[in-house]
Amino acid sequence: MSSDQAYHLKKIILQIVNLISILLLVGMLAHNKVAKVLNTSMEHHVTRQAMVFSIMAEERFDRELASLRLAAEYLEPYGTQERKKFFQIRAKALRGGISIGLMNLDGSSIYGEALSERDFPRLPMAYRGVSVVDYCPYKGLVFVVPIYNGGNVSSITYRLYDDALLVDHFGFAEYNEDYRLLIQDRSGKIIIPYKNFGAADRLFFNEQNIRNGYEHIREKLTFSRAAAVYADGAEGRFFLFSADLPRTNCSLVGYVPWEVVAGGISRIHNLLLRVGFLVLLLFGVVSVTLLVMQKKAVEGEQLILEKELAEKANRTKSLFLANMSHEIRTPINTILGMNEMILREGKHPSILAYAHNIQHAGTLLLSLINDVLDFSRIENGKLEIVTAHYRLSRMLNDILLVVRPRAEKKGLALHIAVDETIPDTLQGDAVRVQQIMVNLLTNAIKYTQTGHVDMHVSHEKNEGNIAWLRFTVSDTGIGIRQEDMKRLFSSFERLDLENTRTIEGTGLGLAITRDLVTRMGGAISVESTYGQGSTFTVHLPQEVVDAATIGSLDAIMQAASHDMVGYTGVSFTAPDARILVVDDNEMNLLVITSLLKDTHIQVDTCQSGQEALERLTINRYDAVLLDQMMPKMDGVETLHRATQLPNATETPFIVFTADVTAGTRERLLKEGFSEYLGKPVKPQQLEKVLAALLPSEKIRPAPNMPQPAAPASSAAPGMTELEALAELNEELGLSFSGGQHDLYAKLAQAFCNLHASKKQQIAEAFTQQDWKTYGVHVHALKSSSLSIGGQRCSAAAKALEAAANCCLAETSSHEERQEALAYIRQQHATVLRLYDDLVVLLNSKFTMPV
Amino acid sequence: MLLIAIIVTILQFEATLEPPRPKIGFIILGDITQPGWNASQYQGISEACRDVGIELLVRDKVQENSGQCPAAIQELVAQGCGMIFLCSYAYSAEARGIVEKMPHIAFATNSAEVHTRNMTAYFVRMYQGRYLAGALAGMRTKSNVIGYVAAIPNTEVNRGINAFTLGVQATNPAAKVVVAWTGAWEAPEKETANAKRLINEAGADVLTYHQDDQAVPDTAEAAGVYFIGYNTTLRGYSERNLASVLCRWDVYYRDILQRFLKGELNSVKNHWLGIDRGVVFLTDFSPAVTPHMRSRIAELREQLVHNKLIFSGQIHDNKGTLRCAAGEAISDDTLLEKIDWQVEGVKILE
Repeated sequence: MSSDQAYHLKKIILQIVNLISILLLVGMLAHNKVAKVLNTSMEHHVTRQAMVFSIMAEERFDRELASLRLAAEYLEPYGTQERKKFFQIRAKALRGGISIGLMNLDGSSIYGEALSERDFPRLPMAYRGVSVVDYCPYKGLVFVVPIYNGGNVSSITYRLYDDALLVDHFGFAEYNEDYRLLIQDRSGKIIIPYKNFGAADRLFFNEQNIRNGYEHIREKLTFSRAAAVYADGAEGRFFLFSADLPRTNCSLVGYVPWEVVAGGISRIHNLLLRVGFLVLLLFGVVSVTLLVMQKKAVEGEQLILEKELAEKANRTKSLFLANMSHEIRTPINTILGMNEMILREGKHPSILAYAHNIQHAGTLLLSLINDVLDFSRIENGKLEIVTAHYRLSRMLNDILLVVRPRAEKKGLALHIAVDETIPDTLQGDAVRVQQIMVNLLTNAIKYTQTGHVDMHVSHEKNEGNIAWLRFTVSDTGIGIRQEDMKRLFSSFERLDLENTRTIEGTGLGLAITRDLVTRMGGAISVESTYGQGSTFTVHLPQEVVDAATIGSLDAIMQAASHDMVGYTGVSFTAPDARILVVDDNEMNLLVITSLLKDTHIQVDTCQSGQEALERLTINRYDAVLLDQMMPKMDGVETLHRATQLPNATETPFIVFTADVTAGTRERLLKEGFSEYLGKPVKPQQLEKVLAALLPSEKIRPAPNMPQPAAPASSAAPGMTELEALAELNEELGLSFSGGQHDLYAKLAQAFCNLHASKKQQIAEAFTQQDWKTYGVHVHALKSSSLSIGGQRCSAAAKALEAAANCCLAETSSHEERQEALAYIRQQHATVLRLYDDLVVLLNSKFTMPV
Repeated sequence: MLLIAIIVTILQFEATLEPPRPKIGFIILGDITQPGWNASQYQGISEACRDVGIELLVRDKVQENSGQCPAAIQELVAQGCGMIFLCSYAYSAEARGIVEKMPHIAFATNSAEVHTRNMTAYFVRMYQGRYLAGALAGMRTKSNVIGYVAAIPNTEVNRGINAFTLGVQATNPAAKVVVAWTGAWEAPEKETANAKRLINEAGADVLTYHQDDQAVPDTAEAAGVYFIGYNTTLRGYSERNLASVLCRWDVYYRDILQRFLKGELNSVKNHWLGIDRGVVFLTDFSPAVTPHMRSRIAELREQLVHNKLIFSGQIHDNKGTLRCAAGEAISDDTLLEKIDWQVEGVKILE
């Protein structure tokens, strides 16, 4: 990895070095070009300047010529002698060094010196009528103008400036201090030098570079009036220039330091140079940043890719886990089913003990598998919340059914407190709410060795029709360390391992619980002191369907009592009923057949949908149990085909499936099934469903069960039947108290204490004929007396409650009401007497002061 | 690729500072392929342009006083010409208005009679060649009568006749020059007739001419009379073709174009080049020209090169008027613009 990085670094540095050298190359090229272009444009500038100088020099010459021409014009009408006289007068006014003259065309002098054509070769041009400027070394600069006589030239006049005067008269020093200007003749001889022209200047002009520069200028002058070039001299950089003076045999020559011309331009040049350097620097920095960013981006992409791969692998694993869990459930169901049969039919105590162990281990395994299944559903986002109406009391009942035995087994007190004002009928996902509470309770029981586990159910506030339920589960267990709190709800976490090593579980329970709570819009919180216990609080919003309240804990307990005693045998028999059970798994068929053996229902079985259809064509069944997952033709298809058969139009179809995922029940019921059973099939549930669906005329009560109270009939329990029941069944009472004698004693005491007020309430309701209140009180009596073992009293109260309900029910006919009313009046006193007797008995039993 | 593009961009940047190649226009009356005036002018200017590096745009067969010349000027200016040569006598008068409206364009005309600030009269001192031709004719004649076929008596033609006559008088003071006018630059029939009259009626034994075509040499050759050519190297003639007055127009044009490029033509009225610059010369001597004659001519030529003025000293015209006093010289301006007389010794063939 480090060598890889070093390679990358080397690559980046190499790239940057490359880039910078290219930029430097381009920059240098551009710089040279800019300098060249600047010099060229400055040469143009200097050229124009030279042209201006040349025009100025010409104008100065023109001024001389113009004044001469004026004199010539003046002299035109005069003859030779008058002209000569004029010159004699004029000459006196002249300064030293300036001479004037008048000449004939043949070169002879009229006045002044006769100039030679050899000295001044341009002189004859004047004879043709042209004004001339000419120079002769040592003689000086001459201006010559013709004097006309009509259209003909009759003589010429000149003014000659001595060499010594030239700098003063025609020098350029005052034009521009920075420019060095001089006038040369065609041979290169300097006619008019600048002031202070000395040996150093001669050296300058003799330098090879400078001479080359002027040579170049001479070439350029062929086609232009003025020219300038850039030259590197020994004394610095210069622009050399030259311009023709067309009227003369002379030319203007000069030079100017580069800096003078460049002036402001050179600053621009420097600015560009600096900016260019900074841009280069910026570019370098940006490219380094970009390269680093790019590298990071590549790494980031790799990470994302790896993450995706990991997630995909994780999903695959979850899916596999889910599938496996699902597959594992089927054989466990079989095991548990067969074990159930052993428990029912087994006689040998040790065999029964083994079967109990199997049941325990199997149930545990099933719950582990269910956890895994739930968790994988959460992972895959497949866990759904399906809401339906449910009754909270029934749910609490079921919860207790599951939880209480576990607490009892560990010798823990399980205290349940339920707020009586909670609405009973709610809308929500009952299965999941129950799962939450069971999870919390079983966790509490798991992690508590001694002491108690308390559950408090209340509701905090109602917002519209939403009730915020609050479940609080507190224990006296090992508690949670503060530092572990945040890992508490993580998947697969087992905290405090040295203390919890022996405790079974997947470590998924709380993660699933929290997820479920969150999905339902609720919240879960926990408070804990390590070593002293924990308190979990769940807030759940649930829709209120009916304002009816849940009532007292007693009622719930009493309702639960039926189930508390465990499975004691079939609840009914139906020897005339005939049902068909369809499942491709032979073991499942065996399990169900066995479970129904005691109901004496005639059970036919078959192993495919096709076979089932054949059976249904021939026979008429009172109910059909159909497995959903079957090869070829599944349960739904079989149902659809079966309902087309004449024999099966009225037949209820019950589907049973190991698919207990959310929504399955609703989906299947929508398909047309009358009822739904999850696998493994629980015997009570199976019986309950069959009891509801089988024709009532074919159902008979089980021989060992009391006849279900039939409020509509006059079959009120007679005294003989009541007397058959124990006045005080202490064993039953003790079982309700979790086998704790203390609790039982307390409950009994409370029962006795409430006797006077309760009795009075019942009596008042009776005298006021308020059957509703009467029913509530009698119901409470039924529950509370049963919880302390007063079976006889309870049964009697139950009969009264049924009669009271009959009186109130809208479905009851007038006769039925009258009959129920009569029953109440007849039995009211009996029940109160039984109540009194029970209190007396309890008082004597527990010897408590009344 | 981008790098190459950047470098090319940088390198090409220089071109933007270079001034565009200058262009000039040239307008002429005849066909530029026609031997004589037209071809010699065209060849001269095209060679000069090639040397100096100027692009030449030509409009030939442009009729005078037809409006074609101003139109051609506008076309040429629109195409970017900085200088335009008006290479026929009457163009400048016709185009004067449009020339004055284009002060930024330099014009050159071979007519000295029209002046504007931006127009230069361009001429060669052809009369110097005529002077030498006259000297040759004076030496060659036996009859002392020399015929001169000329187009119209304008300044240029008169100047030529006068210089020729002064040349004749320099070698043969007894000889006379007889001039026969044709009234047109190109009139071969009239020229032939005039040449025949000069030979037969006036008795001329040497002929010369000032015309654009070669009718006169043809007639002289046919008649067995000596003649001196003008402006064109004549080919296919016998020794009767004594010599020709020639002009190196290419040299002249190179000089004036150089001055145009240097910006020296502003307000230059006349630009005359002569024998001293090698623009004008007498050449192609035939065997009929003796070595003595040749050396005499060379002597006279030397004088001219060294500033001898032909029109200086006492000169009378053929009507007795004094045109130049002793010790005077006729100025260039007068020579260009105002020669409406023939020098003493010239006879006009009526």
